Amino acid sequence: MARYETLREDELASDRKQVVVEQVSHSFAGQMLAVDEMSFTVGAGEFVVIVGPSGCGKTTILNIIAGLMRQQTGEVIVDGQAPRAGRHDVAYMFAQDALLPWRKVIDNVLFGVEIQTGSRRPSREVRENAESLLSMVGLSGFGDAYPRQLSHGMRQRVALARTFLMPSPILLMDEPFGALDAHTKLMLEQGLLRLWDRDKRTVLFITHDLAEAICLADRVLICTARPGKIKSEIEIDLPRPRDINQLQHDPKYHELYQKIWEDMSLEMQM
Amino acid sequence: MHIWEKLFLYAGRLLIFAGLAFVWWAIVALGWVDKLFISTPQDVAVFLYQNFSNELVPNMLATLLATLIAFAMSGIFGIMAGLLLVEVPLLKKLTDPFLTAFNSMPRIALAPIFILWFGIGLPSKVALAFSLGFFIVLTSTFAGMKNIDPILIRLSRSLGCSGWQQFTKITLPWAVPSVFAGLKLALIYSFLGVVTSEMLASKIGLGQLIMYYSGILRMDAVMGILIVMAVVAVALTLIADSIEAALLGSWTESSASTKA
Ligand SMILES: Nc1ncnc2c1ncn2[C@@H]1O[C@H](COP(=O)(O)OP(=O)(O)OP(=O)(O)O)[C@@H](O)[C@H]1O
Ligand SMILES: [Mg+2]
Repeated sequence: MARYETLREDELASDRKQVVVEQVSHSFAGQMLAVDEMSFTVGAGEFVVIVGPSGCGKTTILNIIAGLMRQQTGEVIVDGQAPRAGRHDVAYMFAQDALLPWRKVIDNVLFGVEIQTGSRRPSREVRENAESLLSMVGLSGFGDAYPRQLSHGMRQRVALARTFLMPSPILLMDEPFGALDAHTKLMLEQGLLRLWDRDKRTVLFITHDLAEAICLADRVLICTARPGKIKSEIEIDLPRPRDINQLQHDPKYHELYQKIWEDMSLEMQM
Repeated sequence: MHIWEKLFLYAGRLLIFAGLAFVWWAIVALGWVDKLFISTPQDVAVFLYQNFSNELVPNMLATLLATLIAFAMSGIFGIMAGLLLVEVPLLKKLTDPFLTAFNSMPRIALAPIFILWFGIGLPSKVALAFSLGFFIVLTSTFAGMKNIDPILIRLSRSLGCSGWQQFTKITLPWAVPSVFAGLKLALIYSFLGVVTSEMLASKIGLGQLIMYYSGILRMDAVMGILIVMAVVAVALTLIADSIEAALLGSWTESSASTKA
């Protein structure tokens, strides 16, 4: 309780923190620590990206923030409350597409909203929104297809549209573009930036891809190898709105890339 | 599938059928096997023709009626019991050894008991068939619900699905193909159970008819009834397949692409 109070004061002092992770440690049954005293915050409307070696506990920390599991020690606060699975203000996109095979693409896109509103019949506005998200991810015309008729990357794009259709102000995204080819990835990153510029939601995004991290983030957090802990933090002060193709010509971008790469490679050494 | 391909398949099957009948005819005509043991195709045809409406149809209907009752009961109670065991894991744990024991018992051994309990007639046939079909449907329902992709459960939890929403929108649809596979199997096994029961003791039905004619060494009749049974079994399977394809064709692999 006391801890909670101090965090509230912090919040008032600086700009509002929507996700606060304080000294969180976790180990899975009888194993060594997976997450070791991890601490970071995500401000309201901020786009934060976590990068780190495989197995350092990134998915674990996201699961904790989403309320799907509980940390062993430390404190997590999401918009002033303890995490709880099923909160409507948090939308979670997994590394796997998690589509329902018996639903058409469009009905999969609508599924999240359907659960949140408890109504099987979406409003006209929501339906139009779903259609436009589908075309944003390059799948207009696939609304009536079934997931098995789509490629892996296409299914992941359906999952992206489903996540974005939910009006939740906080988005947790676990390597959503990890399985895509370079071109599709670029298209979706650009789309994600556009959506983010439009609604300014709070995003906590995980990736292995440094270029992706720099293009998207306000701040990049670098995780140590297992047990995971935030090792350093780099502000990405590239101007917005960003055009990913243009960024490639920006010396500042390459400077940041170099810096993060050096930080990361220390962790990657075995 | 193209029309020619289809035509070829049907013509080919007819040819195989005719070929088998010819071999059958030939081995008797050449005197290799006595007619007393296997009869001849022409005698069987005559039997089928002469006894079709007065004897075969009423007996076939009696067998089918018992099969369908047993199938419907297996479906309803098997699915309900399967769902119950999924929802109440403690009950599953408690009853597991009994279910296994009962299910691995040779069911034909139960037939005399059912006949004693229910008398010679429809109920005892249904009981034996139900004792087969019920477990098949139960097992496939349970397995279908249990093998759900864990990522979908994660999705359900993160979206905040209520227990009822998770059940109706995720686990139940997920289990549907597996339940259907179980139902199809249960239909054939119900038929099997009914015929078995009829062979042991019955007043009417294809099983009883076969016992009667083999007792008086009328092989033309026995062979004819076997053919009728085969036709019934194939027809039941085809009907079940087309119902399945109509209901699930859109999203299961099994229907559209792989069926002949
Ligand atoms: N259910 C579990 N049971 C036991 N150990 C687990 C479980 N889930 C994860 N771990 C362990 O915890 C550590 C962190 O896992 P996590 O999935 O969070 O890693 P990650 O950073 O997301 O990796 P990746 O980048 O490969 O997705 C791993 O070393 C893994 O072995
Ligand atoms: Mg992960």
